[in-house]
Amino acid sequence: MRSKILSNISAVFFSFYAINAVSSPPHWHYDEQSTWWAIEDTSQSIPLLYPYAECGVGKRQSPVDLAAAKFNDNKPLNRLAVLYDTDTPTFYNNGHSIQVNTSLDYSGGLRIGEESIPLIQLHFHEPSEHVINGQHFPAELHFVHINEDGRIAVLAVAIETGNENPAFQVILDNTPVQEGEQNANSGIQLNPAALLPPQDHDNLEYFTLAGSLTTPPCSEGVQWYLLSEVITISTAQLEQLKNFYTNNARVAQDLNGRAILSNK
Amino acid sequence: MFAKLFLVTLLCSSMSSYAESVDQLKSSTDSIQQSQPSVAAKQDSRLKSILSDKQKNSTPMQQDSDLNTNQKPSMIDYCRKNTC
Repeated sequence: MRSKILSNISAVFFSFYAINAVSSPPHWHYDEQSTWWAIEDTSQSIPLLYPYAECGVGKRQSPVDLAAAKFNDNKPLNRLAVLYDTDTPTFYNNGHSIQVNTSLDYSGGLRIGEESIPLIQLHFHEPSEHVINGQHFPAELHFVHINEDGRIAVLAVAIETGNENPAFQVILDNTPVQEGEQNANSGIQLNPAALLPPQDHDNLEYFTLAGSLTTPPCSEGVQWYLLSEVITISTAQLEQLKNFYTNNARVAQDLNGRAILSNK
Repeated sequence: MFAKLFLVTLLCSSMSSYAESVDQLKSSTDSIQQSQPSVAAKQDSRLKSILSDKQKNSTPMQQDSDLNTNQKPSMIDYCRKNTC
């Protein structure tokens, strides 16, 4: 009951920030991330004057340094399964990263225990946002799932350089170079599951922790699932990714006592 | 006599309010019972409602500088237009 109340309160705050951000989100850049919290929306007055305040005052921010965490693998955790199928998505250059939006009738999602949460989009960061002892992976892929009350679960996959990734090449080849442009009618089919490590997709091994969006408004209440295995892209593909966006990663945030749970 | 008449009127009015509230309670109990199907059916309808929500809330792509919209905004809308 208590957790339900807390979750509802968090959803209300989440909606508040979402609504606020949707109505008039001021521009932001990765090179000024230490002051995201202070960016003003001059069309609003206090407290809405600072729509990204949570980036500065939040205590459960993402990403984090996994090496700094206390791990707890004794708690029984939900089984995590991906139920992705083939889609005809939209390839979108959102001005901060390359993004793939699922089609409006897409039925694929993430199953966490008994709950299924639809996949809305996936996008890439270069280098990785989550780090281990300060060390980045070359890139990171985020699968963003959102349920009807606005709660978000992100499945994060670290990317190493190695074998070429055909599914990633489809994304690189179909994403517009121009900021803000989308490629909605390519007719190109993509199964997001092709971007996952070759492990049992019905029972994924993961680390999980409570966190936030890694971009403004840095809203908290996001549940992160970090896969224990990585995927690879070729060095040439990494260079292609950098040609779109490079250094589009938020620095690791304080854990503030958060434990990371694992089902490994 | 006048006081008796007043008391009888009051009693009738209370009974009618009581009957009304019992009816309301019964109808809300019925609606709650109707809205509690099996777990599988519930999940199915939930996915359908999520999908319909996705359809309802989707708007043409815009840059984050001009996201003003008359539709009710949602995290789904926001995250289709922004990194999240």
